[in-house]
Amino acid sequence: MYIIVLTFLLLSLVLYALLGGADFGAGVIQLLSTTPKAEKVIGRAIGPIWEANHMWLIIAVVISFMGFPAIFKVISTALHIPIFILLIGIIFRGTAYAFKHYDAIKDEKSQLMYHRVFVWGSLVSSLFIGITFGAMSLGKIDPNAADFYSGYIAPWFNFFSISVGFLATALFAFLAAVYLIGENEESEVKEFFIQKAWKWLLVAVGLGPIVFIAAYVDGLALFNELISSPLSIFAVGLAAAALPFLFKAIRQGKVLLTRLMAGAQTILILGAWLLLHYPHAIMLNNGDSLDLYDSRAPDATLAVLGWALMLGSLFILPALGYLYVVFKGHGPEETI
Amino acid sequence: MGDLLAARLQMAFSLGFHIIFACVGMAMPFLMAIAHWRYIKTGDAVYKDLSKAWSKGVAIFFATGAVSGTVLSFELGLLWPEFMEHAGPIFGMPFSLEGTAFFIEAIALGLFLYGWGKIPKWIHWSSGLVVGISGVASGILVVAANAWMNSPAGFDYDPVSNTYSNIDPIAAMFNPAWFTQALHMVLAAFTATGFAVAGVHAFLLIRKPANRFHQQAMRIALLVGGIAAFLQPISGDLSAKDVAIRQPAKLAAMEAHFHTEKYAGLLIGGIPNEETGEVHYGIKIPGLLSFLAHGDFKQEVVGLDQIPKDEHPPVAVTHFAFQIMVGAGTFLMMVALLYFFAQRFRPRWLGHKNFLWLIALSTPLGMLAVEAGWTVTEVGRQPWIINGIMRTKDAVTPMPGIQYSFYTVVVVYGLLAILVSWLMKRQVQTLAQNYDSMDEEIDLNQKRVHTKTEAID
Repeated sequence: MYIIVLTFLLLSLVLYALLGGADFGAGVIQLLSTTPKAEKVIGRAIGPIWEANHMWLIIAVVISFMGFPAIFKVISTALHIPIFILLIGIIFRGTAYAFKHYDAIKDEKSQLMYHRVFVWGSLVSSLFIGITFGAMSLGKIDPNAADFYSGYIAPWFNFFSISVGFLATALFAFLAAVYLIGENEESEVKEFFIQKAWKWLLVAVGLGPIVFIAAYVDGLALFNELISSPLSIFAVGLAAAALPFLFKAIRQGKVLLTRLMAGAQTILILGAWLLLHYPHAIMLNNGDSLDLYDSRAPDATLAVLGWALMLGSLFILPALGYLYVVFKGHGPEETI
Repeated sequence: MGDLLAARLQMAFSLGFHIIFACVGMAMPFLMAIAHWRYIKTGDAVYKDLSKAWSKGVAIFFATGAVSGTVLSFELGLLWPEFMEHAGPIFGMPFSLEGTAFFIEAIALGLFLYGWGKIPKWIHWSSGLVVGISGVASGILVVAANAWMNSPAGFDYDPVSNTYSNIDPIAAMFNPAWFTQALHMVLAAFTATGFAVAGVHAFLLIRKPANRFHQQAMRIALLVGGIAAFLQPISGDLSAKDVAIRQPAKLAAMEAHFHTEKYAGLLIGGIPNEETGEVHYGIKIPGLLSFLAHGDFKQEVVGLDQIPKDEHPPVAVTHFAFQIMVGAGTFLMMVALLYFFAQRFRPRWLGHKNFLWLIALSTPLGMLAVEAGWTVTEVGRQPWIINGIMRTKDAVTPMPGIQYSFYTVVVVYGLLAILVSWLMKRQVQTLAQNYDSMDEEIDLNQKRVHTKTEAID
């Protein structure tokens, strides 16, 4: 049952990155430039699915506190601040989106305000998801910290965690742009997203080495870990090797291929990360770690959780599939 | 402000904000389903316009409810990590099921809001109904988790070693309090939402009492809210009888019942003095508390004198909140009875200014009762976070400076509350230009309402 629960946890996190992360990305890509048409396409594309996409985060949180309570406790304590900031981002992004689309009066001033809040909320959320994730692996979390700074700031306010934050942001933006290529037939709009997609892919690729440098600076032997694990080398190598093909597919605006490859790239990177760290979920200051297996809940709990997840998926996955099938078509949509 | 108090206030504020949107999310889909069903059956444009107009408001409430709910799921850990470390594996079951229910709800909501004309009519209508059903399901489940805090079950606790063993998550979920709490909350959500919606439409009717759109809206809302308001005191009685046995300290605080006695009197109003154990002003109805709590005038009701001093809940807050809840709830029940009487025997009243003002002024009372009720059950459980097992002060995060996150939450949610109200105002303002059926009138003199359908009421 541990394996099943663990699988669902990892699945939720990956799906959250691919779907919820892309949802944030849709805001981030509009940070520097956007067009009214692109805005419309984005709004229509994420409208029916964003609330469902973000549920994977809730599932992950529930699995954590039910299945791996000690880990949940440490993350909630040491990383309280970045999580809190993440929540503020989530609040503003979610409400700004809903307000933008359901405000009965669509005047320029308020629409612009909603748009700005949506974009910045998306940015803050993406950054702090990455920061939290990076901090978990860095090894500066100290459950017995003597002072506020080392207990609650140092673990996440560092070069490495922040660079992972930027990497996550770039990844989410890239994913969003790729998905959006296929959301509208007009060539002008398609070209807009094609440009965004390869530019953000470049940013993500550029940030990769920076993350490794940051790791070195902050005392994390990430590169060494990478080259000592054959599977990780394979995953990263494959991702790197696929890049030129991915760039080409993006330039050509190939909808299905780019989506599959972008998804695969993300899964490879997350997979490599997992392989490098399993079974450690959190690296602690004193060199110890909080391991997934050791932090697991009692068997009775895992059994019940596992069954609940399996039964739940029987309902959720087909329903989610239906939702996507209904809305992945193009054409004008009658929103209310 | 101390960190523990800041944490409690932040949690209370977050929950208090979220519950309003949760209530709307639970009940509105049913109101919309009724309107929508009448449209499908009759083709009457008023019902179509009504479900669409309501959907626009609901979408905003849903998004705000979803994000505030996300905040809560994290706040469980951010504010109460010691609690979650032990409680997580025990009461996680209802949460994981709630996650499933909410996931289904989010999917169904996407289909409902965006599927007009895109999916077959009856699938579209069903998706709206599924939003309601899964909303109510998730409400029941999350309340079952809260019930566990009041009525811990499904584990063995050893105070010496502070360990929790023999965990049985199913027994934890189906703890002794889950049914009464879940029933009470579901009825509360429908009462509060029904009267809030009815009140808004009643207010808009005051200047145009025969407006058909608002009349039908008000009637659907009062039908749902009225039935719930009528059943709620029965549910309240079940809850009170349960609390009298399981959490006598909570009942004593609710009633400002300082002294254990038989033929215990029911206190109406009154200002408790926790130092002296006296209650000033207020009216005591002799014997009635014993009767309501235990079904027997002779039965002894435990007072605070039998509870160790360090286990007393805050009496004044709990008592006032309880009085507010019962007062508002009783008032709404009577308004409901008035509505059902008028609707059957005096339909002209439904367009009368006084009636409309009564409904309009009742708009916030249901939500007020919900907030008051949650205050009763949460403050009344103090000092415990897990009743009789873990104290709230032992559950709180060690991180200092919680008052800053509290202030932030207050400011952010305050801002959202203002924005949502402003958005609702704008929705109301544009009703006339968006919906042609706003020009239609109803004939209040008829015993039965003239529409293209059968009698609706």
